[in-house]
Amino acid sequence: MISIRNLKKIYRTEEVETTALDNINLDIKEGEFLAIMGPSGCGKSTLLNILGLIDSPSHGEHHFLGQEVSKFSERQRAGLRKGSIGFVFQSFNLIDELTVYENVELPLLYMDVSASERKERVGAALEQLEILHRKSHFPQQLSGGQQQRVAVARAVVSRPKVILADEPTGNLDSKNGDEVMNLLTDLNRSGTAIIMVTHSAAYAECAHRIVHVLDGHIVGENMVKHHLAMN
Amino acid sequence: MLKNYVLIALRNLMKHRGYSLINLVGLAAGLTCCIVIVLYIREDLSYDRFHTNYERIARVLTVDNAQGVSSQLVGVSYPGLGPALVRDLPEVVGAVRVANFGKPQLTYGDKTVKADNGYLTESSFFDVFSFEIIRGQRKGVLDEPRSVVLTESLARRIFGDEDPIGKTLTTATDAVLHVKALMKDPPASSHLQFDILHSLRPPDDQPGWGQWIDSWTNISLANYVLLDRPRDVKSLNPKLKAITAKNGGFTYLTPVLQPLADVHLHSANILFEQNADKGEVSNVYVLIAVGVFILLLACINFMNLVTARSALRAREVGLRKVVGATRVELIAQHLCEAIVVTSLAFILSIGIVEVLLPTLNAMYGRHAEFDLFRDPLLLGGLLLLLLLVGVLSGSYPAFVLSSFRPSIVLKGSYGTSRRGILLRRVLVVFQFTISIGLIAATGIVLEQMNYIRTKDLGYHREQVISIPLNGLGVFTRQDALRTELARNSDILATATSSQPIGSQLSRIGVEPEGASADENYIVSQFAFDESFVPALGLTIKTGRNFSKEFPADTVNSVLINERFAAMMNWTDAVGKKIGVEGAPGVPFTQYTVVGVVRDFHFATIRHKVEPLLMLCNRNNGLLSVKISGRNVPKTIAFIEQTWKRINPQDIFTYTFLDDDYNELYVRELAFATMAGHFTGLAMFIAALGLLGLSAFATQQRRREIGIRKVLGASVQKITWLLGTDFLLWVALANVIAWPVAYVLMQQWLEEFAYRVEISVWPFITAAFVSVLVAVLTISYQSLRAALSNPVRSLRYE
Repeated sequence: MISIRNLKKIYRTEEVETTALDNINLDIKEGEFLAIMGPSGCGKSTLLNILGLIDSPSHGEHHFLGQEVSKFSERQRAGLRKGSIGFVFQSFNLIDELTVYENVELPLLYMDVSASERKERVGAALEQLEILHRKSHFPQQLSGGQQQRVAVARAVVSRPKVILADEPTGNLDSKNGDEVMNLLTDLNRSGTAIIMVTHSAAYAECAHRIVHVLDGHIVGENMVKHHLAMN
Repeated sequence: MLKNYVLIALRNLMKHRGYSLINLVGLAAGLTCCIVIVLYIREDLSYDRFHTNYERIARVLTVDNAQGVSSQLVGVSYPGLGPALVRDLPEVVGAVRVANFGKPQLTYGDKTVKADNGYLTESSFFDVFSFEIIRGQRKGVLDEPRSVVLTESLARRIFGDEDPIGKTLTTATDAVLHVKALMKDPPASSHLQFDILHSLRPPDDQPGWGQWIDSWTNISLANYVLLDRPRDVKSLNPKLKAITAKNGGFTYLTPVLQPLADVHLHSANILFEQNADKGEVSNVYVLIAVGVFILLLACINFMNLVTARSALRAREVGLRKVVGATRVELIAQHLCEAIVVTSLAFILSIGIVEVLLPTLNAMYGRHAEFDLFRDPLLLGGLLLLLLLVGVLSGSYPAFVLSSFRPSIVLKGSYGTSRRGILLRRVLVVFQFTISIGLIAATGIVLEQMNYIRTKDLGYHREQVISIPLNGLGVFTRQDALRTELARNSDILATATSSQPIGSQLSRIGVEPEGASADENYIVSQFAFDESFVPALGLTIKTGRNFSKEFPADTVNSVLINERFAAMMNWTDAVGKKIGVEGAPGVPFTQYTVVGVVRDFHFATIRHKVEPLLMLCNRNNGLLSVKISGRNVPKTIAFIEQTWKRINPQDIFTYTFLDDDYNELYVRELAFATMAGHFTGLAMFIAALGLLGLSAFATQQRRREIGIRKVLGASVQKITWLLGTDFLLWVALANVIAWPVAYVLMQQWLEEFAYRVEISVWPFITAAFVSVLVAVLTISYQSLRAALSNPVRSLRYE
């Protein structure tokens, strides 16, 4: 589904040039659950942003769903993003001025989904994440765990092929963190590919495969044992 | 989607109430100002448009090329011209003559009132113009001598609820007037303002009048013509000249046509005209410029305030991009938000205008109307304005916000480009430049107004009371009145003159000694008695004043002003002979100059002092009373009691000469007041803008402030650090604004024949006010930032 070859990302300011990613090669299959690990500043979030078509690489190839996207314009990337990629963030990134329902509805608005279908799909997503009873509340009225549920609902409502999660449990206590991980695992079981950046070795174990990043390079890759066993 | 945009806009407004208030107030202030300006410009442009024949009516002006005349364009023309044009020119299908009838005193039964303004005119008045007769005959309504048409308001004053048609009125000269019709009051947008129209047709006992109305020997009334279709009136001027020549008019008095559309705004330099509330097209341009400036200020404010707070919206923008919003969609969203805010401000400003307009109208001597829902053109125009402001002010923030990169802003930090900061500073410098320029310009306007008010006019206008002596009885009893008044020690002097000083004097043809036969001289003329010169404080430069010791003064002596002597290059004018024109066909009457009077401003200060001829006359229509100024009300009461004892039948009215003088400049003063108000508003809006920008800058530098505080910087040091930066920008704005204001105002002053030298004070004031406002707004923000706990600002980075 996703294939990256010789990918390089360089950030330039007026005087300094920083290589955030170098010589990255990575393939992700449909339905796969991939965890990316590494210390702060190693480039894992940059990688996730490129995978999510939020950022574009400086060099290299990037195939997404059979298309070479590395040279796509912002408009083309936005078009491809909506409907095929969902995002979950560490800091939830819900819009404070919109209610739970309106936050979840947002991706569908940009996909020109009809009002009746929106209502149906938002309702279904909220129910799936057991947050339907809070649909008229504003984000600040919810606990962290509830907010991340809403964020996950927003990620799934567009029925994406892949969900990108950037430390989704980073701002949560362990109980809520476990819950969010269960949700992601469930989603993966139902066929959605998941790419997750995490610091937590324990949560990384939920993935099929773990990629280790250090100083902008992929320095290691290992299959998770229980999945090896299952395979 | 639109719903989502509006929803989030409104929720954002509610959430950040203080900021929303600043934003709304700034925009509403700008819009209010703009709407008021639009209304006043519309008022100026609406003059005389109510006439069905608006585009086919023209006024005849006369170009006066005689020696001695510096203000050459006058609003009067040959009395015989109108009928001749209808007879001889196929392009002219109608004409009407309008002459001044003054403020007649009218008696009905035991009630006597004074009309505000009357015209002598003919029945075709109602064919050329569209004034509306409500009752009585329309056709030939003024064909009979002594017939009159009253306006509703004058009829109500005289007759109350009685039907005026067919009633008779008696004037102060015992003429009997017949009321033939009742008409609506002239609309406020009419340049002709009157409450009584009197037939121009001469009564049988007035042969002179009969000769006058068809004469070609003088220019003394206004002619209006109705053309067959809208035409370029200039092309008709040669024909008018030819007709004048054919009828024996003067070669130096040439009639020219002025379209009715130009009468209100393009007559600033025209003398001798009936033109109520005369406007000036340059003032319209000034208003347009001020309106555009203030609107720009308000828009820039909005831009600065919104972009200053863009950090708070950055995450939302990032997220919308992540879930698939394109840049165009985000720009649309923020434009939509700007339009929502503008709409709210717009509604607010409509309310403000609705409430404020009557007060403003009274203050500026205007009569603009604001009836939005019965005025689709205005409504449409204002909605367009709303859209324009929304898009203009929303475009930059939309552009900035939509450019945020989600990969950066979603992490919680966001970068602001140096270019963005520079642009916002340039905008604030621009705002301050405009405000400073307006302050300096207003200062210069006020200096000029003050100059006019206090200028030495060559006569004393303080503590002089003018009393019109209308009516036969009053006229004959004036000596008795003056003798009685002289008994009061607070009455220092009494004098009579043909007209109040400062009013438009008439002009007359003269033949000064030594002039060649082919030169035509026309000078202003004034008549007064021997008391006038000392009572009004005029100065005799050489020779002597009129005197009772020389009884022949009334028949053969004149005074002239210095300008007259200069025109003739007379070094010693006393003893020179001057021939003065009399009735047509009669040889000029010879007078001898007995004295030269120091130049005084007998007309408005807008015009240069022209050569003046002063005749000695003891039977004048105006009494001037110079009083001591001690206990003015008591003195006036004494004058009134004395008047009533001597003239029990006649109304006592009076004015103060200095009030009359100020009245001449009431439009200018009102304009200066208006300019002052708009300038204050502009400064207010600019201050809001600076508040926004300094809020933004301090937010940008929170971390720096935090670090400095941790390292031991004091509150004063930090306030100074943040403040000096902005003061430099305000200083730059001053440097830009000064020369621009200087050059533009120098041009404005050119319109005045007598003008003030531009001083440094308006500029110093502008600099002081701008710096003060800047210091106040910035120090609030800086102090707040300096006092905040550094831990908070450092934690988030």
